[in-house]
Amino acid sequence: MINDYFKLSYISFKNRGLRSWLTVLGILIGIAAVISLIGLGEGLRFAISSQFSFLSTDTLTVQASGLNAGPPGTGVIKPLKDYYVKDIENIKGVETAFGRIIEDTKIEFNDKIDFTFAANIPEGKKRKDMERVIGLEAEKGRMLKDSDIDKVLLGNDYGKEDKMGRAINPGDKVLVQSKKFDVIGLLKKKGNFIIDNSIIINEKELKDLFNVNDTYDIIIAKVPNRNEMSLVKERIEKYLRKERDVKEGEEDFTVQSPQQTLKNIDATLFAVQIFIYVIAGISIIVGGIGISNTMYTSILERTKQIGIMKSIGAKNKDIFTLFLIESGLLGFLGGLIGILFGIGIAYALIFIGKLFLESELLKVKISFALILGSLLFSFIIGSIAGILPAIQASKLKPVDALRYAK
Amino acid sequence: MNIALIKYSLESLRKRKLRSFLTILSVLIGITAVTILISFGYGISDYVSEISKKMGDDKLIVQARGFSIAGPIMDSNVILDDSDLKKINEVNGVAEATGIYMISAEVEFNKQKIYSYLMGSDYKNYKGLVNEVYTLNLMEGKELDDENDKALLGYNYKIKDKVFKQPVKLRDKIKVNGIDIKVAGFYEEVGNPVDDSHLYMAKEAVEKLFNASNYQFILIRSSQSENPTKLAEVIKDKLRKHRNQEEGKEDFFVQTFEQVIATFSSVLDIITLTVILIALISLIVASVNIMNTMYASILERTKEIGVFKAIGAKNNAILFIFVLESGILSLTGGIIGVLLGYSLSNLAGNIISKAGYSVFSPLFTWQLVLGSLIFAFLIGIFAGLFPAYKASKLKPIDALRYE
Repeated sequence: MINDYFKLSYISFKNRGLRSWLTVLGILIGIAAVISLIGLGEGLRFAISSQFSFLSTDTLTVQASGLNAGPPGTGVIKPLKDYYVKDIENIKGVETAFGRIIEDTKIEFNDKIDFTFAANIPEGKKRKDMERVIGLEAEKGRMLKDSDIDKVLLGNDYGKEDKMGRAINPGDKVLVQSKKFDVIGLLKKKGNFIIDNSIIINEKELKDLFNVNDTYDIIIAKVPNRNEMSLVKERIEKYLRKERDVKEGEEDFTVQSPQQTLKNIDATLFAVQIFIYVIAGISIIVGGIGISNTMYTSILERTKQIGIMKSIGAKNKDIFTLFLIESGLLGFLGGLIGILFGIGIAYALIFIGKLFLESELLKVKISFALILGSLLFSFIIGSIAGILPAIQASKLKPVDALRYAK
Repeated sequence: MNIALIKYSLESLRKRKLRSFLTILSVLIGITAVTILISFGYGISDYVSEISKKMGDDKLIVQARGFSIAGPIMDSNVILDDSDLKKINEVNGVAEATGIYMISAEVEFNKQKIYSYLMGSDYKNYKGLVNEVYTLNLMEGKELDDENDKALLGYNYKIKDKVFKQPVKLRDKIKVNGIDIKVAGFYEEVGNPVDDSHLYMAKEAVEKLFNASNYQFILIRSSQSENPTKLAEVIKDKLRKHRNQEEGKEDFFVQTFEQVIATFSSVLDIITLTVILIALISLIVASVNIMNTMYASILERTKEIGVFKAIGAKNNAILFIFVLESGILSLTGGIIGVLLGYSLSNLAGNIISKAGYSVFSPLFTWQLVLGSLIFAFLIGIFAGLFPAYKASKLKPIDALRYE
């Protein structure tokens, strides 16, 4: 029985070859547009998120409030004091804590200048903690040691030729904030633009270079037991409220897990994406209207046929199902081809984009769920578009239908 | 003869009411979306050109270079100070130049704290230059001079639940970084929440109360006879030597405001264009729908076409009938779409402006209206061309025989 529905749908599709294909084309264009945009958008969102998610998930980040338009720590009214680190480390549930200083700076090499970030690495046993938590490893040369003087560690991007006109190698000399430093090593690639472009300097030297006294831009606390996360967060907040003399609800600082930080960034990106998808989605609606239109025409043309089917015993329900399946299939077919085109377009755009600019942000991310979802969605659009025409067809009176002259 | 054809076209569209309606609907959705987006694009670029007109073409800005993600660089390690300002003032062709402080401020009112930008300007000596660049009009109160204890506030401070829960009134006291400051006045609305939450104080106050000594930027007015673009080069050269830097290794920018605005506009244009292109996809789909409708309509009327031809209708007349039909369908969609687009974008504009972004307000020009209508009509003509051509080429005998 169900086979017959499909067979009839197929015959009707074939009979209206050109018009059927045009209907499919209508849905196809919309689905292809949405798929390629979602593919590119998700890729971009994934790439951007990964820029911010270099910290392991078992950390809490403390920052003072202010207008954070630039790198962390800028625009802050009341900075974090360095002794907080020790106190936070003594809070129950915190394994280790360290402060980060991030300064904007210029670096000179090979007669070229670049503006970037310089960050500290603490001396003593904290050094290993920070290397571990942030995930810093040397690709060339070695990491910094306490005894190093006038030595810097550079982010991976400085090892590339296009950054400063010539690849920087361990042993080269660079000027940081006009002071001469030896490059001791290059970091492994993190895929994060801040770390891959940063300059790591021993804390004492960095403080001298930028006149930093007793403050930190960020304090990072490692909480080994993930179940204690929110508890430890509350403890740190309580400590800071007391230390900075602020009431609950009036905090001039934030304590966040990396997921929370990410969520804030993600929300903005997501809003932009939804806007674009909605605009692209309009074309799917228009495609759906096209299906409705085709179905009405098709029913009109087959009025006599419907009359015959009814007079030999077809129920209203059968006619309804027949036309619903037909329109659903139109949508489904459009979706199927649309997905293929969409994937192709997304990769083609990435390919063209990469010819012009080399960026890690250019990525396609098309998940299986997206493909399945789009197929289902296009089938549903087709079915919805077919409901009204199918009801109309099913309600036809056999006598009228048979009498209908073309 | 033509009038008869038009009548016939309208009649046949009326006969197929439902399908005509659906076809018109698909065009109107696309046209609505596109006109809304274009009207907002127009609105923003109109706003930008308005600003640049008010600002005049004789202004320049010097800023520190650096690694900024968004907004001005605060706490930069590249420093612009009085010695740079002095050097700039010595350059031939500079009519006047003044440094602007921009610091991050904690503002407290009624026991509520927020963070905002505080701009410190030399109102006493350079009021004209500063006000022209800010393009702000005082709404209420009195302008500043060199008062140590007064501030001008952005528009949003006046509004309940925007910056603070309670609206700030003239002569109210607020705390800026813990120091009592009297509200001397308010500026008119700019239309974006960041600018409308700024705080403005005299240069002297910012230096004294907040220990500021490094400028975030230096504003310059070129003398009348001077070409600002050339002046920018001269200043860059002088400043580089003053700061002991080699060519190409400057840690600062000198730009005319025209350049700043041009860069901004071109980014804006790219974004608007991309969004409009995405919306245009729906019109492509609509044109496919028109084509489909026309094919169906021609199929149904094959016999009619045969009769027409048999009684002497030329191919051209048939072509005309069907192209006209699809043109009318699409133009109707266009007209309704423009009307709908107009009302929806005004509605959206109202909502957005209530949210504090009155920068985003739609602008409808006659070019936009006419352009949308012509575009809609052309889509119809184009989509109808193939089916109509097919109809016009039907052989009368075959057409008459068609069942």
